[in-house]
Amino acid sequence: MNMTCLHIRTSIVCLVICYIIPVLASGQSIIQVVTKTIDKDLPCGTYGSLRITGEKSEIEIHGWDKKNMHIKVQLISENKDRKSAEEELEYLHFSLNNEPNLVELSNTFIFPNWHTNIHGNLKTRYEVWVPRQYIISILNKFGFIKLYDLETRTTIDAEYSNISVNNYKGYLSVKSSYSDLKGDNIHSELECNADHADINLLTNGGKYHIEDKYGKINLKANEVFDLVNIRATWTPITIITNGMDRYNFDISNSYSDISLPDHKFDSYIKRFMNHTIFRLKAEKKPEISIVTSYENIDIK
Amino acid sequence: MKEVNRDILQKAIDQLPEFDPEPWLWHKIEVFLDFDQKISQASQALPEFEPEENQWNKIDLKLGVGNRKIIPLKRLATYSLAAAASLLIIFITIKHFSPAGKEHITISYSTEIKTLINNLPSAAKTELDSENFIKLCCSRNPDRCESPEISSLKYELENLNHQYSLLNSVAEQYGNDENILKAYTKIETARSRVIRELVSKLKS
Repeated sequence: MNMTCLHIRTSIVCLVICYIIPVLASGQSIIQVVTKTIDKDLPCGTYGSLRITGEKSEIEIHGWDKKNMHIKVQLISENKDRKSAEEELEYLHFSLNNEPNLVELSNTFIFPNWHTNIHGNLKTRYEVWVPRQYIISILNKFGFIKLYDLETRTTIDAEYSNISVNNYKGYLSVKSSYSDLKGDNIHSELECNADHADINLLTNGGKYHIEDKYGKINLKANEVFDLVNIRATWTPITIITNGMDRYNFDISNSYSDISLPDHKFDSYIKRFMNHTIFRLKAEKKPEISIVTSYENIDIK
Repeated sequence: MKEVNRDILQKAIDQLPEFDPEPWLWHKIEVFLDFDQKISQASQALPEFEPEENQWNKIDLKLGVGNRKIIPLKRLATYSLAAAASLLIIFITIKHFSPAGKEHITISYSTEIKTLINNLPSAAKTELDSENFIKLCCSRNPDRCESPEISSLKYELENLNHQYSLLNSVAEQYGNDENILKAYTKIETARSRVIRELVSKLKS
């Protein structure tokens, strides 16, 4: 009996040592996390608008076939001690405004006058389930935005908030600064005005108007693009067309080059001074139009 | 306004059954109308009684006024506070679980193992050396740095340095986390790329 107790004690001590030593060695510490969670169900119609204004927020929106909205908001405070985490959580404010056909969610930081900086970390996490045709409008800084399974009109204004869009159909307007845009299984009319944004879209067709600088653009069509119109600078561009014969091209690049998958198009490429131009217009086909500079364009 | 289906309505009115009132109905109504007058006449004919002088004392004795407990003011305040608190709790509960939009608020506590540093790493020495090299080249050969390509890269480097200080102040003020670190990585990658481009173009 005593031997068993001794074994258990030894195992516990070993476990504690195994747990604490790597933590201390890695320079990490045990952090206290206080989370205030607000769960709310709102009855709503199939059509309406959802507007989220976030600061340091992680936003996830899911479309579903129900006629109600489910909102889960977590206000999170992380600190080395629990009391400070609780105190600093008071600086993070959340508001919900429910009007007919419009739900507005927002969070902000409000500090007392004497206060300068916090000693831990504060952030907000939104998870919202809406009817999939709900109109969405999001403004966020320093976090991320994820959209799933929507068929609607969406406007996003993101600063340091990477955007990911999955299974999306409809109109999408994105203003992005230092925020990457990643899309999978989308068929949309996209209007994107970005800087320092890596744009990576796997599409089932659609219209894509993109402006970007100091980023990267990678567009892939599983079916046929209806239109691609890119204005960029210092931004490498790759377009995977799924068949070049399906399109007209009007491409111009300054101080860099254009590469094509087949030498049969080489005669359509004109080079003079620092400019490279590729024009191929035959019958009425969807157009891929690109004007860029300083970085390569790769058409596949 | 034009009446729709007037014929149908007319036909329905024609088919309604007819009733004659009972012959003594009007008499009944007349009796009812005289009721108030009859009551006021009758009330004047009622006899009057005076109560005994010590009647109130008797009632007091029966109620036990002498033994009545008087609640002290302090306790009364406590009771009032308790009642107010109960009302507040009920109000909050009703507010939180209102049927218009069921809302549930919880506070949870957990622990995580991570690094909590509220400022960002500063630029590497090699990057600072490279920036000094760029400044030196541009001061020695200003015309070279006036070209559109190099001046746009120099402008971009200034912008990225500004973004770095902005991000650092956000991390200091609101806390640092994986999203801020991702943004920092993005700025640092862009800065390295711009510095590399500038150095290679100035060396060529």
